[in-house]
Amino acid sequence: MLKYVRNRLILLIPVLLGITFLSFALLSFTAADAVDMKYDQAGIEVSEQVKTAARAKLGLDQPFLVQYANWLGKLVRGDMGTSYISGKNVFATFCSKLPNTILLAVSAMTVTLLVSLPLGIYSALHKDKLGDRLILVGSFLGNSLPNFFAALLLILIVSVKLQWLPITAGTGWQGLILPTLTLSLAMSSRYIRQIRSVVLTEMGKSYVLSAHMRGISKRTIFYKSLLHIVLLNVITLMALSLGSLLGGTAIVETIFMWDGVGKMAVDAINMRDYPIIQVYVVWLSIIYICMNLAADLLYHLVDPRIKEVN
Amino acid sequence: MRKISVTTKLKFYSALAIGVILISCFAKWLVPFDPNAQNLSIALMVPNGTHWLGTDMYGRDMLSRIIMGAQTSVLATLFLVCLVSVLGTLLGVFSAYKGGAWDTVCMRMADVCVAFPGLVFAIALASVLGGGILNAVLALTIISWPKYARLARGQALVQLEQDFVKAARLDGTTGFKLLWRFIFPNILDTMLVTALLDFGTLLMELAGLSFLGLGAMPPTAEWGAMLSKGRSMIQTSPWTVLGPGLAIFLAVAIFNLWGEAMRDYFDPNLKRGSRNA
Repeated sequence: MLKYVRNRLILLIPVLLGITFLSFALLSFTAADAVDMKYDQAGIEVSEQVKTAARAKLGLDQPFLVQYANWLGKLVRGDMGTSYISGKNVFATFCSKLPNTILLAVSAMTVTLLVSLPLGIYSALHKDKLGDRLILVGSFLGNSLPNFFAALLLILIVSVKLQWLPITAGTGWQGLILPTLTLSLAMSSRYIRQIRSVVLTEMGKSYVLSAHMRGISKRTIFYKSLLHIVLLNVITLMALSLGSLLGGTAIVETIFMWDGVGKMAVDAINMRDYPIIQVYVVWLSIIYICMNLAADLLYHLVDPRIKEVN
Repeated sequence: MRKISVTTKLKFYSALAIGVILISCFAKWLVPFDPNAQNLSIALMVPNGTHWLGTDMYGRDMLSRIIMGAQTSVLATLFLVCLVSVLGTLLGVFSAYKGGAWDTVCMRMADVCVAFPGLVFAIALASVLGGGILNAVLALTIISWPKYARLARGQALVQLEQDFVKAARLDGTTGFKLLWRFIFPNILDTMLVTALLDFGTLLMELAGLSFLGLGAMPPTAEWGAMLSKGRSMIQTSPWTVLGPGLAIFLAVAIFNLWGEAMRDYFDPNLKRGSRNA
């Protein structure tokens, strides 16, 4: 196990270097450089000498790789520059908005699990019955609904027609409901199908058949043998959908005015506030990689089959 | 309940999907009104006999804009799917065949590109490149190719171990000819099914970027951008949101069904729902 953890951590290094390098390169190649940008935004005309001095101060006259190394050093210390617009430290801004995004992601994930586990299992245990068919059609529809349209439909139905919730409810618990539903709609649809197919695959295996022949009830077989396999698959699913969840929050947060990092990034795009975009890409990716690693390790820890192979 | 055969299903959904693609190709001749003609005197009209789906804030006919939008949304996605699957497959197969440094570099690049969570990198890239549907396509290509490269590599590695490939190699077949004649035909169905199953997702992601203002630029009619425009008027004129939204939904549903039909067609042993995750 320890060896596995060590190997995984070593493999992480090139990926981390890769994503930071790409993010750095990406935003360094933008049309205007940071100094021009800063003075333009401030609306000040300055001479070339002042700009050259400012560039030297920021280290922009150094070779690209040196700049990258410097930037990386700062990144580790939590210094990723200041916003062109607000002038505040972008890392601090990111950290102040991150809890909102995490709250939204966790709440969406919780709702997804609460909906998809029972429905997926029910669907598999009642294969080809009416309930199963309805659930399958529902999950197909949910899967074909883009999250921005789902969000607008929810606003239209819940806020405009039924007037149960205000359209933009802010960051309180009321504001959490609609974005959570939007995000969990698409995710639940995918989860239900996966969970259903996992249960069906396992049910077709000979150990289930033999238990069945010995007179053990379907229910007992399910709880004693199948449930933990389903849960193992859910861990993998969660890790896989984390990426789309983190990306999806950008659109959903923007629509619902939820004050998280996704909305922060979209706002920054409109104002060409590149340091904000940079901190968003780098740190969300790092979080994503770490969560994936955690999921892998967790899977490793709880699945006896993998343990044996190692 | 009568079982509908996989072939019939595939034919039906293929017809639907090709129909959607044809509509997008010939959109110019199908629109009842000029999709970009503004007429403020009929702005935000409720759906009626003349304007079946109503008009938008500039008095442009919604139905015409939705049909025209199919051209942007569907054709751009088609281009994106082709680009990603061909590029990914080629890189993956060459990696499997060449091995060594090429393989390592290529797969590490794939690792880095998939390490960005979903749309996050695409959003950043599109924002740096600026708007435009081609830039959005490029951004999505960069985050989507590794999936195909990894899949194609895995499939090709299996094929390269097969006896008929070994025989062909002993026979002196190498390089491009070996890949073209013995590897590609055997992985084609897997890659095709994957690409078709991804069509809907990529359509949604592309429309999502446009929704954020990172795809098609005005006045180009595009479904995501139209939704984003209609968003502010959702209380008073919900049809400006429902029209393009339902268009995306229908297109995605049709392409998803097409992909699933294709998957079932190529794998007759695979019963629905019994796939291993």
